[in-house]
Amino acid sequence: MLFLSMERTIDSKCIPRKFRKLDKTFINHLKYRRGGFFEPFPKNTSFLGKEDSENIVLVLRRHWLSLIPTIVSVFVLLLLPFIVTSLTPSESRNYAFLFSVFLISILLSISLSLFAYVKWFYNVNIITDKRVVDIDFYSLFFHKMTEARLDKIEDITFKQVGVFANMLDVGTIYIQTAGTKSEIEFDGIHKPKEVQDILSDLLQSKKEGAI
Amino acid sequence: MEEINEILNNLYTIQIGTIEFNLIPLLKIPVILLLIGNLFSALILYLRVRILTDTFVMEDSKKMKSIVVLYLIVTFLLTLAAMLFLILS
Repeated sequence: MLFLSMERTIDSKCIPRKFRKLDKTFINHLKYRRGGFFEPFPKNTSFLGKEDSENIVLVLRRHWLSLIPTIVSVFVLLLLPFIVTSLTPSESRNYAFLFSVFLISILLSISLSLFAYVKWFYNVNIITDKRVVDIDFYSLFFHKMTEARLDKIEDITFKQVGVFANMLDVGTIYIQTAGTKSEIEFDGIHKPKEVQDILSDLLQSKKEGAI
Repeated sequence: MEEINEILNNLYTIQIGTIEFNLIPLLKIPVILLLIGNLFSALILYLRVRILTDTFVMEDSKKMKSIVVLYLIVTFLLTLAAMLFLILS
């Protein structure tokens, strides 16, 4: 399962000193970077409204396996010109038409894969030492940004539903803030229990005034 | 074999009285609309990425912007080529 998570150890210098001296278990989970979907202490990263003194602890995205339906669709689309060619009798083949089908299938494959990649890239969850931010990019005409300060968080729950979710250790994290309905959802997160532990320890450290 | 070709040639032809309609050019219209729609969505994606790069900045954000610009150019050229071959066919 290690190749699925593409785990790499990060340089300990990337971890800010105030976190290194904390006696909490969450820091052990933040020593590994996993292929774009779990990035602890990322460099040159910012978001709208980030304060200068604010440290980004973790950037999360959906597990790359969520891109598999798109990969399958692209593969089918690329096969389309070959299917059309094989169905047309060689005597009545219109090569200009077949070439246009070939171009269209390439065009749609590129569009589909790039759109899925952009959606994956900008559907991002950010945990800082002051707040959690959830940026959702649903479609070309709908994107949403939700944030909650750490001191307003009351409850963190995670849910793993289904065979694949349990096999691949992927789940959804729900963050409940004071007085409101749970609005922050980290969807398709790899190792949600670790993320829950990171958030809980951060909240506790914040309450103790350690960060 | 000639019979098969004749059947295939007449497959998309409708005859009303003395007037004959060929359905092939009509079938090309939704494909051309799909291509125009795709080009339009590429343009919207480019504008959306420009907004999102202001919302969230990462090391790869500049790369993403360049990829989307390249995608817009490729989409434009491929759409033109596909339409040309579709009209010629």
